[in-house]
Amino acid sequence: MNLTKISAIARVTFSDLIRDRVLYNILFVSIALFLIALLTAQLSVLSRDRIVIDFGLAGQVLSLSFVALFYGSNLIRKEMERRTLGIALSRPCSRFEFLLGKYLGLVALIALDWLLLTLSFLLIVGNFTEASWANLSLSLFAGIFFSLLEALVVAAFAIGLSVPTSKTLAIFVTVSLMIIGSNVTQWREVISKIEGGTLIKVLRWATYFFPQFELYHLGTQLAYSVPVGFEQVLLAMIHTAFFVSLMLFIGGVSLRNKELLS
Amino acid sequence: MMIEVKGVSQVFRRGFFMKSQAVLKNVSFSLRDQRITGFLGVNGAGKTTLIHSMVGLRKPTQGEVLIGGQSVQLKEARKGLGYLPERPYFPEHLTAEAFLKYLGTLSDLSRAEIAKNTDLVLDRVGILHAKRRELREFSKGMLQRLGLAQAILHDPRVLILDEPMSGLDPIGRKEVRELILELGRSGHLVFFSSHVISDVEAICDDVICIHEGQIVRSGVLSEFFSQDESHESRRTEIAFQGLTEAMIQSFSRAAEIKSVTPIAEGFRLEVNSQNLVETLVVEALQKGARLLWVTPNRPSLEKWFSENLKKAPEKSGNTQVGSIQS
Repeated sequence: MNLTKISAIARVTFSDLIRDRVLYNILFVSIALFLIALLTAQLSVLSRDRIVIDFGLAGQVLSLSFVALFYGSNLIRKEMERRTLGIALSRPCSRFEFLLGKYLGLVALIALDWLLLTLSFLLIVGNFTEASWANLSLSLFAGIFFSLLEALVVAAFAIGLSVPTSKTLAIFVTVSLMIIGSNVTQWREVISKIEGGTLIKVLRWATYFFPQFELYHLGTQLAYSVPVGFEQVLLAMIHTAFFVSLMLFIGGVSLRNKELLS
Repeated sequence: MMIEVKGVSQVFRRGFFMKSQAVLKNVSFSLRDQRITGFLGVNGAGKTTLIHSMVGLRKPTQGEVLIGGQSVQLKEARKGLGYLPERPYFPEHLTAEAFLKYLGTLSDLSRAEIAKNTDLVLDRVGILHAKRRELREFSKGMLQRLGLAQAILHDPRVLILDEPMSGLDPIGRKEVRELILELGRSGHLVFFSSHVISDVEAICDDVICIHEGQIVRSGVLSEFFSQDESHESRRTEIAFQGLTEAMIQSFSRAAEIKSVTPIAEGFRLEVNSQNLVETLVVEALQKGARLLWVTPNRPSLEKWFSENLKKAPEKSGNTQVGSIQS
């Protein structure tokens, strides 16, 4: 692995993505969502601050996931369609390096998006809620950080799945996994209540292998101000590292064996 | 031996039932340094598929491609390789300089080498003035030149160019031809595909011809077209001013002239033999005529194939191209 090459690919990818108008639309809609959260809170009698925080955080997760999904699924496909892949890969650059560079370019974009949204969100929470800056707890920061981790996993799934399949299928499977992964405890409970043989056991075990997106959702903890422990943060980070590595590995192997040009 | 293509076959599976379609069938040849080799074939003959295998973008179903004895699938082997794809698309938001910096990094060049080579290659292809311009502002011809610049940026010994003249106007074609000639003279191995015979004739030392996924003919250019059974590919047009029909009839070899057509300035003659061209020009000039032009007329590749290759038996096995053989 050559880090200079990977960072060169990441830089070019980032500078390409940052020019896309869709990104600014997503950002605009996300900030609009924050403002809607503010308006919705005005309609409530109780827990106005909670509504602003919950809506805002959900908007942030939605925006980041959308960026990760939309750009991630298109990143390698676009290179293949434009035939720009050939010029890079005919040089002494491995397909793994290329894929990793593309992913890191997208990570930079997601990080920038996250930073802008976080600043907007914190400004809204600090200035327009009843408890004002007192709302900015460690748990809230953990929730914001988890939204970034979740987007990194979504991006890795979108890229990793788009190489062996297609853009549409990658989006479909990633969204499905996000839905399952966000409710994995409930799935497990439902399955455990069903009487059955081997199939049920297999299904129950399978839930442990899905990406556990619910790890990143602190809804109840935030609502009742339950502190987020270091172990929880560490677990989320390990989970992120594992699934990002796994999906990039799958994407890399697929890219290595793929007919890049038809 | 710089490039060896050994028994390369490529099968694609297409359609719902994954029907197999052989695009390349046991293609073998080898290329040596300091030669310009033209790769001729009609559209769909398998030129681009083979080129993709030669630059490591495609793993052949069977066989292998070696550069300097190493498989092209290895990163090391690709260090000395420059490639220009057909109808290249470049990231429009980058400047020419940034684009070459990016590709220079991927080619293992140091920052200093990139800076030095960028100016050098941009100057060589004639677009140094546009170094800091974004690629979205480049014309088609400029993009093609940039494509050549990126291919030679790291001074590779082997250059593989897929239809380098495609989409260029006559001046652009001429300039690209001259650049390829210059690269050949400076010691590069240049292998380029085309479906235009005249492009190949103008600059190549050797020619390889592919048809329906098989190498059907190859050899040194000077002998290549002379193998034709038909004389169609050697037809030449000569135009004179100041000649009369009677004067033409009085030429010593008038009977061998294929056709005489009156034109505004005089007459246009068509002949089949090179030797006859010389005789006619000398006699006409002695009679006080003025030579307007001498143009060798080459048939289209499709016509040339239909006349010369379709009936020819298919070749198989290794084909060595180039006059220097080991």
